[in-house]
Amino acid sequence: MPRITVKFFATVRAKTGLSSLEIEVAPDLMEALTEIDNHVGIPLAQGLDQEFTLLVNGRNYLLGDKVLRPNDRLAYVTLTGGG
Amino acid sequence: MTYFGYTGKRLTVNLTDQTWTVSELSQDLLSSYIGGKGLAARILYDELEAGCGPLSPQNMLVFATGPLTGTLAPLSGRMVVAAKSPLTGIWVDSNAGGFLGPELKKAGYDVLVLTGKASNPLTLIINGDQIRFESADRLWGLDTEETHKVLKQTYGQDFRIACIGPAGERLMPLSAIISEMRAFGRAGVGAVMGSKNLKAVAVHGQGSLQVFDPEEFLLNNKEAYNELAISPDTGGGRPRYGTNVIYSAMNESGVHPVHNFQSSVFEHAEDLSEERMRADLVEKDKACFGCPVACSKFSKVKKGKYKGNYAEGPEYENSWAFGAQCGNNDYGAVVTAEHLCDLYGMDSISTGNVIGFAMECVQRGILKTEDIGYDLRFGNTEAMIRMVRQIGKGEGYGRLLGQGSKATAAVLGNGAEDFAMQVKGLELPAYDPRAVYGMGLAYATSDRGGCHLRSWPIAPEILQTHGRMDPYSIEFKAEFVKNEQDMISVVDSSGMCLFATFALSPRQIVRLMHALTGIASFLDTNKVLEAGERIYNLTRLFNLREGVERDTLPPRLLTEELPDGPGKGNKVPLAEMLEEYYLIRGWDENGQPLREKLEQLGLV
Repeated sequence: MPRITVKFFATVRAKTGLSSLEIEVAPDLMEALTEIDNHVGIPLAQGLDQEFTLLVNGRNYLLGDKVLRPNDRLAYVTLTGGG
Repeated sequence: MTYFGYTGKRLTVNLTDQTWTVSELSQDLLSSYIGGKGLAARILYDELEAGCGPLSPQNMLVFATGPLTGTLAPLSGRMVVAAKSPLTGIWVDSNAGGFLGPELKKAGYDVLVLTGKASNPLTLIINGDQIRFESADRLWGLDTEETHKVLKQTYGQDFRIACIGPAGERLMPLSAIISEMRAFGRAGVGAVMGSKNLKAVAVHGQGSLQVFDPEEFLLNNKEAYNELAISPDTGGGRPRYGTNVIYSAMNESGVHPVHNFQSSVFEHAEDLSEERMRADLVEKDKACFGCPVACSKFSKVKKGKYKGNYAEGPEYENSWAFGAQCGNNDYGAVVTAEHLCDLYGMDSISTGNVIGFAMECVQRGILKTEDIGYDLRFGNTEAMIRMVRQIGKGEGYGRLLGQGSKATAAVLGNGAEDFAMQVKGLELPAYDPRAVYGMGLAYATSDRGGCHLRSWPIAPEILQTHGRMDPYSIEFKAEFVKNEQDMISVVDSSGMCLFATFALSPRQIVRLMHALTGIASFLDTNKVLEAGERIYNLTRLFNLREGVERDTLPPRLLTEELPDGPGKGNKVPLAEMLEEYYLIRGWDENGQPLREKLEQLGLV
């Protein structure tokens, strides 16, 4: 069970009231999202690709193998078109 | 002739002899160039004397609206100001929202063209078909807020104002035109206005526009407003955080430049995050004409040494320019610097960028504290604020920095050119392309120099899940950048805000344009996108005629490896992307459009 850092940004932070947390999760990213939902008590995962996307160590989760490793950083990022 | 959506009128004012003419805009011109940027590009290409001095009376300043400007369409408060730039020597169109564009159309004009130079400072007053000039002697030297206040008291609150501040009066290449707290910011349009001895334009009108198919237009608008409301961007993050919605994400992905692009992860990012802005600073949300998003914020500093200071913003670019770029993590200083830029009438991106550049010169011993007179090192917020003031006033080293980073580096020498973070003379904004390769191509090929508003590949490279691209690959970048540059040329010509594209498809925008104007070619999305390509090729021709330098990036981005963040070790592989880009564009290996391409676009 890797221990990772989870960061919540923008609207996801507003929803959870949390800026970050340290948590042990399953290596499978999708399983990990469910565990994070359970931890924060909000069904965030249903908003994936609708309200937010994920960065794993700073890269969009769709570009990686969707496997989490110890000390990874997982960030919930509001879907946006620009700055 | 009946015009739908457009007024069909161009007002041309000669400031030298204070005369004006009103002429009709042809349907062919509007069909081929849409309005806004496209219309301004055609006018400047046809009428501007090649090689003219940007600050000479021969330069022209074009204020151009689009068909959607001032209509029921959402986010339709936009217009452009275009000229030959005194900062870059090439094309500039600077786009702003607010209320000036809609008011110009109510006054009866799609476009206002300013030529010549007044012998004394003037204010131009446009009240419908009544045009007059008044002395601006009493306004000269006032900041932009004071100027707005005096003009509104004089002419009435329903007049919309655009003016320059002290920086524009001094012809500083970093100067902007400010309109009701919105800025036509980039590449020195304020100096062009100042060179014409024009302090301000005050506009009022009571006219209305005709709609070609009101029922269809209303239906399309309803659909558009709904799309904007349900989008996670325009209906979620942007109303709450404004452009700062991306702040933390940019830092997390290692895109956020630190200390003049020496690294790309800011250790104090949490202090300047979107959440800190919203929680600690924002007092109210503000919207431009016809905008349900209200991305603009009015902020006031509640504590610390800058307590009581305020600004419209802070925008993401400024949270960077006066934040990580200068090593500052005090949001109060960001707000203070941003407001000073507005007051003096300066481009805040370029101002923050060039101060960060000067700080690196201090770090490297190229600039000495004893020469500057104070300690302009990274992280010294008071020195940063002091330099903003000096640039605005043209004092001390501020006089040199106000010429821009390229000119400053040329004066300082000693290798400073290698880390002047500019493209074609325009200072780069808040994204390090070593962590998002597409942005490197976008910077290098932007028609006004180092700019993020011609294409922003960071969305598919990092922030979105459709059309996704690997940020560290060159694959698809050329095609994406080319297509987005064309599409944004359409949007910047339409009078709609770029942010609308975060929720609306090109087809939805084109349908609005057609229902409004009835122009047949606007029924066909491909034809409208071809108009965007035509406009982008025309600004390219303008730049080539003015002797634009080759498409490249600052040496740091091409030769120095990114030292931190997810993109650690990267350099921008520009040459490969550029080769493919020219091929897709139908340009030769030097970036010159080929004859076949120009013929296809009707530009021969």
